[in-house]
Amino acid sequence: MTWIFAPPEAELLEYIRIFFQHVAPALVAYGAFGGTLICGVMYLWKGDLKYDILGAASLKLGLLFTTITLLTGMMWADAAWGTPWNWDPRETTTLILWVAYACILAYRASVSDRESRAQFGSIFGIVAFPMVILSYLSIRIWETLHPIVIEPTGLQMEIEHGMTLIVSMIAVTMIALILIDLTYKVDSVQEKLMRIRMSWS
Amino acid sequence: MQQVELFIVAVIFWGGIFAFLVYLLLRMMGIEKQLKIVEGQIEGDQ
Repeated sequence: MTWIFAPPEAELLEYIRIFFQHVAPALVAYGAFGGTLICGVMYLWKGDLKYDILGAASLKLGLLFTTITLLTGMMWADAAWGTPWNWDPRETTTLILWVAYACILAYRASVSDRESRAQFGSIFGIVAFPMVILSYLSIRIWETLHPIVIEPTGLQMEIEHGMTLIVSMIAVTMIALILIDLTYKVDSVQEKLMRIRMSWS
Repeated sequence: MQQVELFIVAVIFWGGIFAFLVYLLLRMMGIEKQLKIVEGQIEGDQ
């Protein structure tokens, strides 16, 4: 649909197709980080490791989609504004967001004590979430090159582009959910294997 | 020129997703190896 259905835009011509590969992963990444926040709260409340594993899976997918967002955003910016990076508030806050969650992932990979990793990983996942809100609201707080597309009244774009964006959103959300499910299963098996090895040795 | 840039965007998007799938596949292969080691240890102890 992105490549065939959506018509070229008056100013951006065919480059409008980058928009769907950029906005849909961005919104899905925000959702995935939201999942990390919820799982972090649930782990600290219930103390069940499955929430920690699910939160970590959500974090990985959030990072993957933020990376895709930043890279496709650079292509989009180069086409629309002439340079790939402008230190625009949305770009900057998204980069900070990426670094913050990458640090949490690095922390999780470096700590061997399971309880500490789960506890601090959950806390960091909660503490980092305001950065997601700041990144989302940055175009409304500061003057920016990014247009405000999503308004309470609806999508500010042509109907065909709006439809393509919605379908892209659904497709990327489905891909993200499948990948989170697969990651959760792999991490759960790894966790069980570690427990067996520890109990045997 | 536009087609080249759109192709690069498609490569970034699908490349990212497939790279993640490869990462999961490699981890699953690693788990399988670890499982064989654990099975060997259990059989050895018995």
